[in-house]
Amino acid sequence: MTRSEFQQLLTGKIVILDGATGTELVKRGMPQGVCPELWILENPAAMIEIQQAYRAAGSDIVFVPSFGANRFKLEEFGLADRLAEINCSLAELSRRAAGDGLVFGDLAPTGKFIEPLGDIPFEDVVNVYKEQVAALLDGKVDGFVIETMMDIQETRAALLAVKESCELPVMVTMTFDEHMRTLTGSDPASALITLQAMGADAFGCNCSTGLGDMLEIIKRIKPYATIPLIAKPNAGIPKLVSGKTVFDMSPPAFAAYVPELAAAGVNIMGGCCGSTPEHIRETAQSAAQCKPVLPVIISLSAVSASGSYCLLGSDKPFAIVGERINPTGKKALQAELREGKLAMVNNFAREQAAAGAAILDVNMGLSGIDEKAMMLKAIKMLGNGLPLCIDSTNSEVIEAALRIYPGRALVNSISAEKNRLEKTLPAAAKYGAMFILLPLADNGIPETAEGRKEIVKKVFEKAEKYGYSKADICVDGLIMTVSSNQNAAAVSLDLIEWCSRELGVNTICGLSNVSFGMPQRGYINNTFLVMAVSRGLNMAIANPSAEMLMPLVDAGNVLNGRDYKMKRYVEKYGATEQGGKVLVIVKSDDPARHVFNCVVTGDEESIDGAINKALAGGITAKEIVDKSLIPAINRVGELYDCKEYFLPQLIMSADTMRKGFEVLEPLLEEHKSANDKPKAVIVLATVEGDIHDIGKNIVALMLRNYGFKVVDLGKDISARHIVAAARENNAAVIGLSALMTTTMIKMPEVIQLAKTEGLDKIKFMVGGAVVDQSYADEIGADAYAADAMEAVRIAQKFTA
Amino acid sequence: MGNINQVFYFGSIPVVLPEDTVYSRLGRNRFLNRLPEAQKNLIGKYIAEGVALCHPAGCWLRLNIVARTAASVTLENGDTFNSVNLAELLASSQAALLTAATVGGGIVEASSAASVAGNGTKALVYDAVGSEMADEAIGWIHEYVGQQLKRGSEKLTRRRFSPGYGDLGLENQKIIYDILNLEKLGIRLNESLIMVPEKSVTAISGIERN
Repeated sequence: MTRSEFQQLLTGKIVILDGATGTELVKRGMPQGVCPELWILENPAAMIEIQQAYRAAGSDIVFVPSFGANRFKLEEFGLADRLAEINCSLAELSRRAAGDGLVFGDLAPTGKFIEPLGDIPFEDVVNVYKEQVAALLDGKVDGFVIETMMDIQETRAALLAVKESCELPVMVTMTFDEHMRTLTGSDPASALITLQAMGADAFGCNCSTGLGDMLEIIKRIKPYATIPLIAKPNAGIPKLVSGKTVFDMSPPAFAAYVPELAAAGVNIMGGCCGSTPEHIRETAQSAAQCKPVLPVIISLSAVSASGSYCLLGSDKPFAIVGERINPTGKKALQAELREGKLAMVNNFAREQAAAGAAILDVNMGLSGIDEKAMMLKAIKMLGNGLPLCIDSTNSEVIEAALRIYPGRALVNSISAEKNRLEKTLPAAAKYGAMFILLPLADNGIPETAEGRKEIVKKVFEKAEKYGYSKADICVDGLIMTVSSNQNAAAVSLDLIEWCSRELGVNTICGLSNVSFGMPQRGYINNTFLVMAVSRGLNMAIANPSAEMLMPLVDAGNVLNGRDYKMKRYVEKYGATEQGGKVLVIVKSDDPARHVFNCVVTGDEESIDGAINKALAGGITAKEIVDKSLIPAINRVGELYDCKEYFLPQLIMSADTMRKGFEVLEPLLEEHKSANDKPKAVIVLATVEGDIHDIGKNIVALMLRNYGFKVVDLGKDISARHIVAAARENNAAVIGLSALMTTTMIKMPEVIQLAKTEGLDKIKFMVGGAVVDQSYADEIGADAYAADAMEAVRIAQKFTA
Repeated sequence: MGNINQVFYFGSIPVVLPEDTVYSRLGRNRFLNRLPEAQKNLIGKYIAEGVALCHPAGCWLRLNIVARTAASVTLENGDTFNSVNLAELLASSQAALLTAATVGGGIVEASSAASVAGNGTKALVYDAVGSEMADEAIGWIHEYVGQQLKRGSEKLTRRRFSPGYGDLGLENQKIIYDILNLEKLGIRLNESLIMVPEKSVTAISGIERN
């Protein structure tokens, strides 16, 4: 069957697939724990009966029962050496059973995970699938189905294996959970965008959750589908009845969803777990009454990563392609890349995503490093985030990156230069990437907009031969700096306008190029952005953290109608508190009150200024402590006790108070009098063998804020060390923390040792996840503190 | 799922951390708590930073149960877990699933560094993120194995047990550590049987027939 014959089949009807195989085999006696593929070959009559029943029920296509017949799965049963024979025989068996029906070879998860999720290289998995594809081709299958996939990267590997082995049609179905994500985090739209761009002939979901969820998935992805959609649901949601899992949806109830699924855009239907020939019969009968809704678009302007996507176009939000992951002019990044490290790349990715980038440009071009190796490393690290723009002048680097990139990338860039047209363009086409069309040729950049338009037309003509359409391309306005040619901006703007208004393609530009060599570049960049947007620009390569850039972009989206119902703008700039109550602090001109408010609201940034202002106003350091800081932290304690504050807020206030004390400490020392009572000392430690110290650290912070001198010994501290520190510091209290049952037993050792050494006056308080009041009593501790505030109160009581 | 007794390792688990779980761990009561925007933003920033510092990895192994009493379960490799609670959990299971997950040492080091620098809020949030990420990672492994089992008409028990909980003593940590060869994930076990890095978890659950 050719791919066009497959598409032809779908134009006039909803194509019917088969139903469940596994549950039908169990009904026919397949025992637990066996290799199903081998059992089928040893009991062919069972499989023939199942597939004939599906054919009789109306299945146009049956799947070869080769679900687990890849090398990795067969190895689990010691059958890897029989892979070719098993797959070929299973295909022949299905061919016999299906009569004149279509037989599709079935590829499914290998059970292994590809790097970086697992430890299997991508290429190994492609080869594992290729081996299975070859054997199924020997068995004369009509096409392939890649089904029940949970990982987009493994799905890509299987799809590439088929595409690199034959010209037969290939359907892909993935399994989504109730949150509409695969196990490895892909959403249906991202997966669809990636796989249809790579040449899948149909896409959809199987197994997954209930039929209602599947219907919702289909509705969501139909607008983005350039290929037919598939639904192969379970016969209901599995339920546990008398200790057995049952799928309780009857054939009529199952088929009742068919009209809705068809109306939502499903072109191919079947059944998964729990479905039977009767489910398929009812489905086929119902589907015969429905008119198929074919894909509504023939191309889609969109890029994707494994779990996110970005739609592009004049009616879509303006897209900023974050420019920061590029070593040019960044010495620190260059140094890191030379050491093979990517920490800064990771930070740039995170920061740009937070600042509002829609796509991230990744450029690893730096002399003295292996650009390809670093690009692949970066792709593996960043492939789960925003969609990527793969930026290199080296076609080999681009091809290698596209092969492992778990989405539909944007290639930066393809020009009319010979090498780009002959090497980069076919590579981009093979993996279905979008690309940035750079209007320059081997003889340079045309100075006029007309000259650049000719290049755009030439490259587009070549790209069309590889199956590209206008939606797959973004033309670069190729901005030159106005510092050397003041007409440069006008040329680019003319090109942008022509591309967006007449040619109808996306347009993009490297925004900051326009201001190179100029002072106050931000003014020029931002003004040019606004001018270019008004001429049709819909993307820019820029730093999303640049001053005013994102507000201008967001406002432009509102004014151009690209922000539907202004939702994004209002969400971002009209921030309102979600959930919980809003704490209202009345702003005060009273400096002492301002200090109080800083602590209560945990405003660490403002406390310095507030204290200095209070001091300048004549309030003494001691008064600030007594009348602002202490009352404030007490107020925070009250808010915490009545649960209006939770722990991080308590700690924020404590951090703020600590910072306030740092400012006041020298002044307090200066005015210290002989009558001042010395601070009580508390020794804190996590006991020997235990490495958990966050709870103890919080207690230390709170105690310091309440005026105690804390000697924090840290974690995994021996009894001898703790007792020695208590003696040396003349401690009033020892606080011990332990999180595990194996380490709490060290607490009584400390208490016993202190008593043995005559430190009878020291009080002991204990805390930690496994400790409680009864344990404190049992080991002779003086108190048990459930949390940091309680520890403060106990310490106050002990030292009063 | 076949019969091979092989430990499967995941070098990088795609954990998606719901912020709500971190807030819950930190004790937020949404109805009573008042959280101003600035504080919410700061906590959100620390959560995002914490997530970036975590590198979730994990592994799993299936072992058949070859003997059981009311207070013990013996696996096909000869190891026995003595626990009434665990024996009850695995009463209908023909095999046990041993799992482990870690988020690495980076988050713990960053939390400690924040504590030392006097930023208790950051330390606290990082600590909570590390714990939640480790829990999410082991949950992900269970979900993955559960999906694999479904095709073979098997399922996982709804609950799972970890050493140190109920009557499953912490000494069992050593058994799981050795079986799963957790050194391969960069985990070591100290003399108190605590895993280092701290944000690491292990669990046992049962595999039952449908």
